[in-house]
Amino acid sequence: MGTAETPLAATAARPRRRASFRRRETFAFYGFLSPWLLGFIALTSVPLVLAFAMSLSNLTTVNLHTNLHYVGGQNYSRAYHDHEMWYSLQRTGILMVTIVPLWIVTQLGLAMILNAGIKFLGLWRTLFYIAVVVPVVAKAFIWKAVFAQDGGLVNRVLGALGGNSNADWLLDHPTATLVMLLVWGGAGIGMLIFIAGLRGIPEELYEVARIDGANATRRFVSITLPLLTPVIMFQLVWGLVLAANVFVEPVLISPGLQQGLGSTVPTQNVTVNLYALQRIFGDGDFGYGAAIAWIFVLLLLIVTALVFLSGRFWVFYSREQYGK
Amino acid sequence: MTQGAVGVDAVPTRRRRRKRVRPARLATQAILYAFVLAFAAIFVAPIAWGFFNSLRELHQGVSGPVIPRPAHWDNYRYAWSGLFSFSHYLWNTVVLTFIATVPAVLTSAFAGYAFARMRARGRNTLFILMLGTTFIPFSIVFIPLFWVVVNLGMYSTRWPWLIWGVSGSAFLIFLFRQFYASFPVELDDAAAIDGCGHLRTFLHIYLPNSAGPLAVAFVLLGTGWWGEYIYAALLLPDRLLPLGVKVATGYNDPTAQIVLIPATLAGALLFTLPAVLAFLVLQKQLTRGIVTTGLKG
Repeated sequence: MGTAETPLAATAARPRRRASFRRRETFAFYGFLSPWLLGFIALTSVPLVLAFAMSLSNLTTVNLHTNLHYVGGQNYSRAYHDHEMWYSLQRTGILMVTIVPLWIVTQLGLAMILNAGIKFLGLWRTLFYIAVVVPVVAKAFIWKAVFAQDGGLVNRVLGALGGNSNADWLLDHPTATLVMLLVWGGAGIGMLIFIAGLRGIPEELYEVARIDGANATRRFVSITLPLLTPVIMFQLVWGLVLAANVFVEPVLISPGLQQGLGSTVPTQNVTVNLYALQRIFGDGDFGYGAAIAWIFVLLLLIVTALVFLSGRFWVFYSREQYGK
Repeated sequence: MTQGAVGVDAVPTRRRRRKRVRPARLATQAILYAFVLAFAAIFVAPIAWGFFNSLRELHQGVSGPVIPRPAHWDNYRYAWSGLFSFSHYLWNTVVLTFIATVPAVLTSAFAGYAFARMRARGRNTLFILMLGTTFIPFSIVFIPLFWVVVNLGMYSTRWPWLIWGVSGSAFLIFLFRQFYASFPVELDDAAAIDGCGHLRTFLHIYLPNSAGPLAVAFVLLGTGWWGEYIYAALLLPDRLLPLGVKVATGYNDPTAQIVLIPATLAGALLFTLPAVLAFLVLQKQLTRGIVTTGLKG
């Protein structure tokens, strides 16, 4: 009798227990996630909506003034006719298409050098990485000292090589100076990620290729590059977002070695982020700044989505095949 | 038996290889080391240049002999206490870095565990949303946040840093998720048999075994906050400023209206030192952590 009852009792109890287990699991999940989730709501979702609301208003000070009202798409049409806004967008675009390839080539190059069985690996890796941990303020002043017109390191080297040793880099070539700063200061993390990617490629593939008589170039093009495409994609998207967000460095490396932050940023280095912030903290125009920021976000979203989609044509996913 | 065969086979080949160094191989090695040295020089030269110039006469720019003579080591003393109290702003930096980093690492570890090990409705959607936040540019979030911070009376306070800290970082959550997803599931089962809930499993099994990702998290986020500039510049009054801002503005000659470049560089390098030391101490965990967490995408 007892044996006949147990299965019945079990089938009756199990669904209820499973439901309560699932509910508890969901509870625990959101409990674990709650600090991040609250932050996500307060620091990302709400600001995004608020920024959109601001962009539709004539908010011009930090305080809610009495004649605050809805202005429709006025800020957006103003941005559309603002040549300086378009110019800043163009400068951001130029930064993105110059820095990102330079980053990827430098990072991959450094990673491959370090992966070639070199001695004192730890020392070289540290030296290549160290610039990443240097705070941006220190980086900026070091850069000003390196690119100073009078006695800067770059002009000294150029002079020693017989070139023009009197260029005012910070004023006349601000974008080139900025790009070099960002490549120098930002290559380290990507290098470590590429090293990890290179280590993930099975050594057997290279051995087989060597037996088949493939030379180093062929091995790089046919094995290393295709198997690294997922990493390259990751670096590409991440790099694009980082490059799009540049705006602190231009302010900190404004021209004039001893003029400090008082001198104005050359227009070539006014990125769209900086332009939006200047409208707000310079002109107090919150509504207009928010509209520019939203235009920028949408454009960046389109660009990153296109890059992602392009992956279908060139990213090689091989996890099942090689077990990595 | 196969092992023995491999062992016997391996010894002579290795010996043979060591004896005969082919010239082609020697050439590639030479090129390789030339490249390493060149890159190392390029990456370190700016820092060395900054250091040399921190030793010039206080009112000088960067012209003159490469290594200044005499070297003005007292510039470091001047950077420490000449125009402002360096230690006061150093303390500010420590406080801001601490309240923004430590809670963020914990929050991110909790969230990473939840994404890797717990089943709940909405998990995948939230994960994608979480990754999506990394694509949102600074300006669009900061513009309304600034306004909110001012209107909530948190302007000129450190509260925003604590809030940023508690809410974690999407990048770190991803890092912890990748790491915990590769943890052996048997550990969970063993813990479950012992009657551990998720909280105890996480605190007693997962967290103590995450030295790698914890090091990565502390180095990446900690050095980031240590040198942070823009939030502090826009939100804090002078008495609460971290060195990340103070170094840029603090070394102006009050009479000549110029930036004292040697003092600024000395201050900037003093300010850089703790970040570099933290990196040097944790670098082994950092590089290993990036390999093992599958951060490579």
